[in-house]
Amino acid sequence: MNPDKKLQPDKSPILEIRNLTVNYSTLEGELSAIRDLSLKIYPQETLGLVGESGCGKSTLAFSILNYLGKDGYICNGDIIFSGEELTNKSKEKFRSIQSNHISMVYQNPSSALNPVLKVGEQIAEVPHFKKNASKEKSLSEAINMLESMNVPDPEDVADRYPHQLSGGMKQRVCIGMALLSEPSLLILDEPTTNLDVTTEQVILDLIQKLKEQYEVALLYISHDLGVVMEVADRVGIMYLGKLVEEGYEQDISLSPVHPYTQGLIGCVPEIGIAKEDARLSSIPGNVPSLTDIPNGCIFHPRCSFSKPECSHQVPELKIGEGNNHAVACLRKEEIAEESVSKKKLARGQIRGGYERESTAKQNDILLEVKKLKKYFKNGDTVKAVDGIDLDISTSSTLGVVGESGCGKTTLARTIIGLLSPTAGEIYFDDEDITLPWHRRGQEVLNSMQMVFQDPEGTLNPTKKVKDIIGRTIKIKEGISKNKAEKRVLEMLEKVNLGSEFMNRAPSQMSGGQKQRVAIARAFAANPDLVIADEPTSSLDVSVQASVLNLLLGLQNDIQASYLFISHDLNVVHYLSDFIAVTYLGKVCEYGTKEEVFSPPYHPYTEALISAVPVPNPNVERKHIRLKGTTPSAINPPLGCRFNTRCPRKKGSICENKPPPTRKDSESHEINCHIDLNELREVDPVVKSE
Amino acid sequence: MKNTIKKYFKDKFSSKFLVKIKNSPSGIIGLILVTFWILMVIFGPMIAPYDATRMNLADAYQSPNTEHLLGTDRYGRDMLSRTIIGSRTIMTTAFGIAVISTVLGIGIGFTAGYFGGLIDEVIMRFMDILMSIPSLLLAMVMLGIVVTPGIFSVILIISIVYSPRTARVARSALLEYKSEEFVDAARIRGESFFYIVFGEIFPNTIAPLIVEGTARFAYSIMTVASLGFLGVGLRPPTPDWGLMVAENQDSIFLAPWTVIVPALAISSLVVGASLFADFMDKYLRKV
Repeated sequence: MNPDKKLQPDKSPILEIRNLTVNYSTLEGELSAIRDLSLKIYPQETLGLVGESGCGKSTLAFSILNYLGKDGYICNGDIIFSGEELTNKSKEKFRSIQSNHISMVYQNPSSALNPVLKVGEQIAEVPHFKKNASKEKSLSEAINMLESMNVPDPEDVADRYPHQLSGGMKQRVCIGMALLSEPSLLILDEPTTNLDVTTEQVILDLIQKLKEQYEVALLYISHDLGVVMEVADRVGIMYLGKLVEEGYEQDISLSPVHPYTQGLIGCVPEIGIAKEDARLSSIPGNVPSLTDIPNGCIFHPRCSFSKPECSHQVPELKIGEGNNHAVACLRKEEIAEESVSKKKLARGQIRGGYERESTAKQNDILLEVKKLKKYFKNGDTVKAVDGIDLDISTSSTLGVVGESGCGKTTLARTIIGLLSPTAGEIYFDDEDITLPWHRRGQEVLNSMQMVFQDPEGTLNPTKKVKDIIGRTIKIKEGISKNKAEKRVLEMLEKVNLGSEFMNRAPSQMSGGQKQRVAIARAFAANPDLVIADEPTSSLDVSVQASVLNLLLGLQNDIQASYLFISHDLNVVHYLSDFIAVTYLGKVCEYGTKEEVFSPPYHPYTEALISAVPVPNPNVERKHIRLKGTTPSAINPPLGCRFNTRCPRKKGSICENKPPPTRKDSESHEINCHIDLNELREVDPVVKSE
Repeated sequence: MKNTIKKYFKDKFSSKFLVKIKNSPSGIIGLILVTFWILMVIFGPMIAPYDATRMNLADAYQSPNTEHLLGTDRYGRDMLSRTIIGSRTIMTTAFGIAVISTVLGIGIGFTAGYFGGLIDEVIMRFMDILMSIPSLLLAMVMLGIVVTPGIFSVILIISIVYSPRTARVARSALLEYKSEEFVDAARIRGESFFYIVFGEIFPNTIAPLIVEGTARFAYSIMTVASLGFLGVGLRPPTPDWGLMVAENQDSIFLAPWTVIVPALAISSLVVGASLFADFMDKYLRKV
């Protein structure tokens, strides 16, 4: 993080891994999850490891802890922890080293904590077990630790059970527990992946603070380059069980060399980049399975720089001259030169963007939602959607953004008719369609389609691709199955899948391919409106970019409108024309994307934008931190819903009166008690140099 | 739907099946026992040395010998022939029960599960009431109402008695998939109830339903045999295993083979069918 911070190469590393190879014995034979990997972590340093799913990041963490399960084993290499070889130690010896010096924080704090023990007792087990401290002393140590984790009211929290705490709070408990044993190395495996962006920021701040306070070395594992750039001193990029690039954080973010690193950076829509400016660069293909690891350079089948020799020559991870930047690529010199000459390469501007529609057309309103409410009654009333007004004009995209529990998915499912609204009206093409799906006309059903979130559940596992897409065509056009097959082929071509996919079952496809089929299914009906509910959130970043490009291309082809729902602000900004920011079932800001992303902001929008990690040190952003977590929708706060967490709360008026709608322009609306002029005065959240 | 089932079997019962069953000794024993009795059902009349119902009092109570391999009963009927021919009634009855109770269960369970709410409550509570009565007792009472119970009334009545159990399995299998996104996708495509349930959800539930059907087959052999033993159900002189045990129970000390032979036949079929059902469960569960 800190560029002035001196690393001590003269100091001996706290952890050194030499030529580590880890295998799993499976039904498909021996699979190497990690191959010939070497790395070093120096005392008090943070090493960030980045890679997509299936690249062996977690396996690496577990092999340091000797916790590979019964099928995994270290078949070659050494793990040396402060001068001591770990791989040949007996189980007991290993355990004592580990329990005294290495701790780990896992991805899912809910399953890392014992649900039947109170939080305080659980943390107190650490000093009780390790230092033989008395019960009372251990408990007070636990409470002290909670306090240094910035937990408000630590005594009260210590007396609660894990299920009574929010995800962010549980993760703080886990980190506190890990630090209580005073480790010299702390391994964090995707510690913020399950958290909302605003909570993620709070945890990242905490990790920064603790790093200095406890003088501990960190191994930070994540799939999110932005997050890693924020915490790490040095970054390693992992691909298929190997390190392909390693170097200081600034070097990697400013001048990435390895094509995979460049791809990872380029495929994330950067804040401020919109579809009009640039297409996202994507990495073609998928991470190969461990059963068929490519020969030569492992990345060459997906690499746009690959040359014939890449397919048989294995590149070594070598440190370049005069710096500490190591790249495993045969063509690194040429690529580095090329990148310098067009500096923008890694920033996603590869081809031109998408033209925006003529404004005249945009004024036709396609979908209008008025005062829509959806309550769930299950003992208590959950007010998931509580009075939302929206409209979407022809061929434009409305992005709906908000943290989890804001009612985004409920909104989508109510509009499409899978849920019947509690109150309010939905108009589609001036026709009242406030009806459940089985009472809507077939024509309305055809012209509104949905792309779902979960690629695993979106396709029927017992059907083949041609039947899945063919069914939509058959219903829409009433043609026979054989005739439909030609149209299915056309649709597959449109989503960049070949004819060999016709007879594939969902189990024979990757997540990205399944999502493409799901998109083809939606577009086969030639819809006017497509509702996309987090269509890329469970995909790897490299695949996400290609799916987003696909969605934009298809929209351009048939001039469909999108209702695009996402928790990812960058994606929404990239894709949308208009944006609605939702909080607890209400819209707090609505406008064109330029209006939403520049002052005046709603305080919640401002906090959301500031919470998005940016993997670019040239971009400066404000640090706004929200307290606590989203309150429950059973008893939402009175007055303004956001008042319990608002950093700019005015006073009692926010608690008592619902906020007025302030119009900044024809299209820009902010629901806030703060005066517009006052809201206009803030600086933009993101400034790039 | 027919095509779906056909396709399902084609996919599942290929060479993979043979590979899997090779590694499961209990599966092999089950398959052998069940196949043995199926062959007896088909080729029984050709194999059986005597007419199963022909009495010959001169040959009564013969212990197993070269002429009567498994001896004779008190009327001089050949036990081997009776057991072989007896497999036909019990196998067809049990198979009929397995199929009809599964179909009934799918109908009831899918309806309850798909519509949910009050419909679900009413149907499933009624099923609970049926299930709270011991199945043998319920079958006896219902058979008592029928004046002359034949093979069809036995099949139908035991199927009704078993249907709450299959309905539960069918319902929970449906609930597992009901809220999947591909079902939502079918809904917003405007599909009918029938297509959603049988075109989209049903193919995914075939595995647990086959396992349940196989288990029902094993259970119904026991129930049919018990009913035969108690004298409700099929009437003499039909060669029925349960009936054979009942007829000969007085002579158990005089001519133990008359009881042991049909009893062994019953248990071999029950054990075989249960082992096979267990194997199917393991084989189909992990796809």
